[in-house]
Amino acid sequence: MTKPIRTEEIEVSMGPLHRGMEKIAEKRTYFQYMPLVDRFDYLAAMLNGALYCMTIEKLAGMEPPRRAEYIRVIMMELNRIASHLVFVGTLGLDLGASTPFIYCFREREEILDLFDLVCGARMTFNYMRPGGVAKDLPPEFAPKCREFLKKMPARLREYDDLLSNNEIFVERMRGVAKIGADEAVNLGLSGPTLRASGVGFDIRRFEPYSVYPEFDFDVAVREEGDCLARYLCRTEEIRQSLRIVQQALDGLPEGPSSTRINMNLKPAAGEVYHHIEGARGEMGCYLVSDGTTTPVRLKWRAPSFSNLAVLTSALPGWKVADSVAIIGSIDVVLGEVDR
Amino acid sequence: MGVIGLGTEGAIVTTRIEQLLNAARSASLWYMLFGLACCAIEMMATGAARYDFDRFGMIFRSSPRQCDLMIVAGTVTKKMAPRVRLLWEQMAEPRYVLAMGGCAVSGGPFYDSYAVVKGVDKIIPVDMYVPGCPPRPEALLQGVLELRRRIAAGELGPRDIESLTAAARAASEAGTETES
Amino acid sequence: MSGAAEVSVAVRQALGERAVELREEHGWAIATVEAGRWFECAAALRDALGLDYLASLTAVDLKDNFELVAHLYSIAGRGKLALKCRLGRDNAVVESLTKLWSAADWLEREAAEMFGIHFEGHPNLAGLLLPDDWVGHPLRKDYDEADQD
Repeated sequence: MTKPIRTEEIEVSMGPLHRGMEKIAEKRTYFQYMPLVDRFDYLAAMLNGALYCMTIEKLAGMEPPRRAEYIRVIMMELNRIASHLVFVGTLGLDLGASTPFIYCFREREEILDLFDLVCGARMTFNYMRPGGVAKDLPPEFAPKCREFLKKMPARLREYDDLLSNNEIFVERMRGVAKIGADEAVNLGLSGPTLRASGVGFDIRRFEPYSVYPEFDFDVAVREEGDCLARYLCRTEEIRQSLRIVQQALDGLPEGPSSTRINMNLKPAAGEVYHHIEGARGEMGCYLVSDGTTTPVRLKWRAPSFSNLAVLTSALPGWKVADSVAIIGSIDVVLGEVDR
Repeated sequence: MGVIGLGTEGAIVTTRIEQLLNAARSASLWYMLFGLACCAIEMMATGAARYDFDRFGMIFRSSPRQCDLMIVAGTVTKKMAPRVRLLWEQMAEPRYVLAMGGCAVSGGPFYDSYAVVKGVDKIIPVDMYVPGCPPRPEALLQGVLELRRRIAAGELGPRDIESLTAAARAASEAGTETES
Repeated sequence: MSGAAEVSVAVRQALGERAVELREEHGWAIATVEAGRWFECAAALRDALGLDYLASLTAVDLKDNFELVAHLYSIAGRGKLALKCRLGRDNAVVESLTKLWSAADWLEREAAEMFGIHFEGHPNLAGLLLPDDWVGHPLRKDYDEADQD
């Protein structure tokens, strides 16, 4: 029998999607840049938009109305679910199971329909605005969203039957590429990739933003640190996000969904680093303003960029065939790695 | 195309060989499993259950050697451009290119970026443009249907059958001589 | 999490006169140190405040000079801090932080590529995002984009 080929050393080569987004920010006004923000982590564009707007609000000293905060949370959590569904589907595909992909995309389409209803776009929404959201929710939204929430637990059980309880899948993931807690923190990992290593670091709890303190949810943490733990953390997060959306829908306050602001926004000179819990981890935005209509510097802290760095230590020693499981379990979006 | 006789035993259809080939080509466009950015996710969604590329005989292939169609889905950067070109060169004729989304069409929202190629047609010939950012799956499907129509109608070159058959004949004659 | 005021006190204690400037802005304590003492101060702060997480490291082109800024915090919630230093445009050299946080590896490579800052002691300061034959540092304010077309 031939010995399996193992990875000895790896070098990560990136950049094929480097679009110079940070430089473009210095050439556009705050509002002109807004559509581009969606193309940064394109699987979770609502989260990007919300982060960008929250950062500007901090600099400009604005406070969105409560209804807008609730709508933002609904959109962000729905988008987190949609993003994790792509993760579950493509991870299955990577490991040779093509059915979960079809199933996950079926549910993702339902979320995209909700987004479509709200802002007319499926992926790149341009829905968040400094001081609120672009448009209030249409009346059809709440019933359709509730219908989706009701349907989802049964669908999640289907995925469990297909993947979580699938012996082949579990065997390929369990115990593979364990990442220790200290190493994970030192490398700057975040999101489910970090929480699967036993570190309960979630920005929604660490430094609560928006109206998250008002919701009851658990942070999914697992101790194993292997590929399976990273997968299970994300499926658990889908369940928790469903809980948050349910509570936000129930508690949605009346009132305006945006504040009137000047399109030629000039935040006061100064700087701020704001971060939120993105779908893949800590998403940060460092904004330096000199009081004019364009920023001096805008830097994105992309969770995938930092998470990808773990490959140099996680891959060596494992079979080459395991690398698809390892890379898949980290869930990178190259749009935000290369920016 | 003409039809001779329509009896119980079937029909005899007369056509030119290039028409027959074009009809066959248009009905099974195998596309490359190759995405660059946001548009790639919409391409995946088009391949998934709701929009279902398979019903047009379109199946993704992981090797450029087996592909008829390259859907350039996403931003082509200067770092990626040589690799896109290489993939295209590895495809066999007849090959078609569909530029999906604003970035592949003209650079899109990154028209003033230092790192982006302003349209994939700067590096490879494009047969069909589908604008949008990203285009909805319906738009991509319409682009593909229009591409199929143009292929079937013989509007896309270099599909000069006579010179191709002449070249093939010459090659096979040369081959039989050396082989025997 | 500890507020910016408490963090400022702790920074003053840990660094003493080595903190050239210390202020608070939007919930962050912002400390500026001399470029020559960048590594030394970062190490002192890491131990004193338990800053085990390097979230971001980047530079800002202020036209006269560069400002290097690292955003750090303690996962246990002991506080967060933005650590800064100023670097001359022509002689932008600073000691690498990779020995303290492995996360600094790629962040420094990116800053080196985008601004032309040299990080001494970095294990491999090769380019990261741009093509290998790229000329210039795109995020500098004086970068001429027409060069590339």
